[in-house]
This record gives sequence, C-alpha cells and structure tokens, in this order.
Amino acid sequence: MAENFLSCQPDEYYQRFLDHEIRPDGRKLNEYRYLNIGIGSISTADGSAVLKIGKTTVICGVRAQLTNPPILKPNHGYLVINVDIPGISKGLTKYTNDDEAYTISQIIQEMVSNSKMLDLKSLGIEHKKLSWVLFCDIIICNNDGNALDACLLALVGALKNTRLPHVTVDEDEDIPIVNSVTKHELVLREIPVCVTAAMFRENYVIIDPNTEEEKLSSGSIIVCSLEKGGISYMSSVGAGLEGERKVEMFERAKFHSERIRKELVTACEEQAQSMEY
Amino acid sequence: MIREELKEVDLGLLSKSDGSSRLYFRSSLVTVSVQGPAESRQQIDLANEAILSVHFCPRKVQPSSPTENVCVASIKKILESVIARSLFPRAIICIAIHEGVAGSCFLSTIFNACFLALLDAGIAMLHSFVALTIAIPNEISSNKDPIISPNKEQEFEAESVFVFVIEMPTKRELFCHAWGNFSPQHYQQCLQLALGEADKILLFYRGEYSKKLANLKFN
Repeated sequence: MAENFLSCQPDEYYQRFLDHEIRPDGRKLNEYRYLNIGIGSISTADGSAVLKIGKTTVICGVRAQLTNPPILKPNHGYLVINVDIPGISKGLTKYTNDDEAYTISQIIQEMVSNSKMLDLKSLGIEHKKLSWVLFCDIIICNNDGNALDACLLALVGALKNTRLPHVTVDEDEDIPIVNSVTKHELVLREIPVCVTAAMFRENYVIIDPNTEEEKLSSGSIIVCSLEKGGISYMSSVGAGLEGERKVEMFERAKFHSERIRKELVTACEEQAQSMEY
Repeated sequence: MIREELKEVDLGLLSKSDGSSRLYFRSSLVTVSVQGPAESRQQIDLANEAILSVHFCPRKVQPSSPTENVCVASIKKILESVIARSLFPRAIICIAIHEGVAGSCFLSTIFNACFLALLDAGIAMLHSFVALTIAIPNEISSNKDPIISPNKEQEFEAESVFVFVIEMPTKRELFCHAWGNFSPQHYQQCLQLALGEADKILLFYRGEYSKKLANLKFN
C-alpha cells in the first residue's frame, strides 16, 4: 500500500513524513547517516581510505609517482583527482553518467585548492628537476545519495594515510635515490569537510539526502567548512534557502563537520598506532 | 555604474537562431544562442513539459577552471525552474553558451547573457533573473568594502568571491556560488548588496530590450 503511494506520488509521500519532521528511513531532518571509516585497507596504494555513509560506499586510493615539476612552479608537485562512477554503483538499468563523475571531481578539486589543505610545495623534491605527483583515484562503489561528501572525506582520509619515501637526487648521475625504509607523512594544513543538504518543495532542508531524496529535491546546498573556522566553498542551487535560513544551514554544517572531522582523525590515529605495533 | 563595466551588448546577432545575445562585461565575453521550442526526438521527450538542453562550449578543449564546469551543471537547473516549460510539452529548447573570453565575473556574465538570449527568443519565463559577482578584498588591500563586479586583479586577489543569481521581482536567491575563505556574516553582507544592485541590472535589461524593439519598428 505504502509502496504504491510512493511509486505513484513520491512528492506527497515524502510530504506526509516531513510534516512530522521525520524522513521515511527514520532519520530526523538534521540527522546524518552512520559513518564508517576504514583507513589504509589497500596495501598496494601509498595511501587509501574506504568510507561508508549509510549505504553510499566510496574507496579512495593514492598513488605517488616521481615526475618533473610544472614549468611555471618549479618547486611544486601535482595533485590529480579522478572520480570514477562505475555501472555497478547505480544498478544495471543505467549507464555510467560521465558528467556526474567529472562534476564531482571538479567540485572536489575546487574544495581542496580553496581550503589550501595541501601545500604543493611540500611535494617538490628538487627545484626544476623532481617532484611528486599524487594520483588520487576515487571510486564510488555504491551510490545511495550524497556521494560528494563521501568522496571528499575519503580523499582526505587517504591523504592523511599517505606515506612518501624520502627521495634525494644523486648530483653526479642526476638520478633519484628512493629510501623506502623511512617514510614521512603528508602535512595537511587543513581538514575540509563538506556537508550537503537537499531542499524539498522550497520549505524543508534535508541534511545528507539519499538517492530518492536527491531525485525529489527542488534544490541543493553544498557547504565545505574548515577546521580553523570559516567556509571555503559554498554552492546553493534553487530558491527557498536564503538569508537567515542559509546562516542556520552554515551553523548546521559546522556542527556536522566538527563531528565528522573528529571521527576521521580518530580513525587515522588508530590506524597509525596499529601500524606501529 | 553598469555602463562603466559593460563594454558591449548585442541582441539578435545570429540570424539562424531563434534568439541570441552577446555580452562583453568587465573582461568576459560570452555569446549565447537559443533554439526552440522545437520538436524533440522520440526517446527524450516529456509529455507534460519541454526539455532543456544546455551546452557549454569552452574556447579550449578542456575547460580552464573547475568553477565554470561546476556551474554549467547548475545553469540547467536554474533555467529549468525559470522557463515556463509546461507551455511547450514534447518540445526541446537548446541553449548553447560559447565562451569568448573567460575574464572576471565570467559566471554572472554567462547567466545574464542566457537571460538576454531567452528574452530575444521570446521564450515564456515565469520570472526574470539577474546575476552579479561580489568580491571581498583580502586583509592587505587598502579598501575593505566588498567590490561589486570586480576586475581581474581584484577577483584574483580577493579573500572570497560570491556569485549570486537573484530572481526578480520576487528578489529570491536562486543560486549562490562562493569560494575562498568567508564567514556567514560576509555572505549576508554580500547578499544585501546583491539585492540592492539587482534592480539596476533589471533596468538595464529593459533598456536593451526596448532598444531592440524600437529598431524593429523601422524595419
């Protein structure tokens, strides 16, 4: 009976729940799904993280390679972010949507560069000769809504887990000497956390929407908050959330991002300690 | 004030399109062409409203900045809410945005050019909208006030940049894209400024369209 109502009139179905300030999956409007963070699970990568927000599952692996630095910035390295949405994430009925993966990767690229999380100078090894390039591959294994938050979090977790070997350049033969025994971690100056909310009928703001809620949404808002306070990126599409309501959304985003950041840092520290043993 | 930043505006420049506009604002040049409503292919038509197809054609093969690419996805959503699509069922409206020069205020120029092209094409819209860019200067600059429609140096050195699209005359915020490092107070300050400036931009649209209609009478 309820399934028939949901398939015929999904808007009205959701409206009935939202009138009582609850969602069909039992969450309150301001409630995030359960977060499950696994750091360092992929041994072949230099850094990795597996993240689950509810059923949305994202894997991020970081590969470090040596390369020539960019011509205009000869003591910088590169950070290349690539997002992939394979067919399995959406089921067999839909083909891969290249636009969505590209859009997510562009948004994450912007959030990372705006937050000044990673100083690309720290990836430089030898002026004009050698630097690191970090290839960050983000794969969305299961997309049950809000893939963007999960992707950014997985990326930050993988970068925190990344350990780079010490590299020096032999002056006589001009070849790099890699010392894999001692490894150093990346210095992350900031930990940006992104919180996405969907707007329903220009009236309700739903934090962390799942797939059905995203389809029914009349707009969305993405807020990326920083550890030191302040917001590094914000994008809101659709009317209904302006002025005071948006400021309230900023407060909510800050609250959630602090909690999520704490969980991420704890997971990274636990993994680092287990590696020491 | 707008005349200083606006270098060139042209409506109906393309003869093959139903509507077109070219806008040269600050250091950004954008040409938009609108075709439609036209008959759509069987697979993608909707029974109750028109489909919008938005294409962004950058100058280089790869888009130069993540910002533009991200916002092109948003342009479609905003135009879908603004255009009276239910008046044209089973039809398709194609909007092609061509980048001429991606200078400062590029995003707001794209939105404004889209609106002018839709006006030129005579496509029914539920509301009009205006777009503008506001930059907050960084700590070391001498002027601490937010700058409306910044130039290239101001935008590059700004602490944060806001792009607003305001629905008129209801003055609701349809779209906001912001980057840099800012606080909720900065956002509110810039929003108030944007709401104040929006009337001037709408007045400018009226002026341009009136000129076009006046020219038609003589033809």
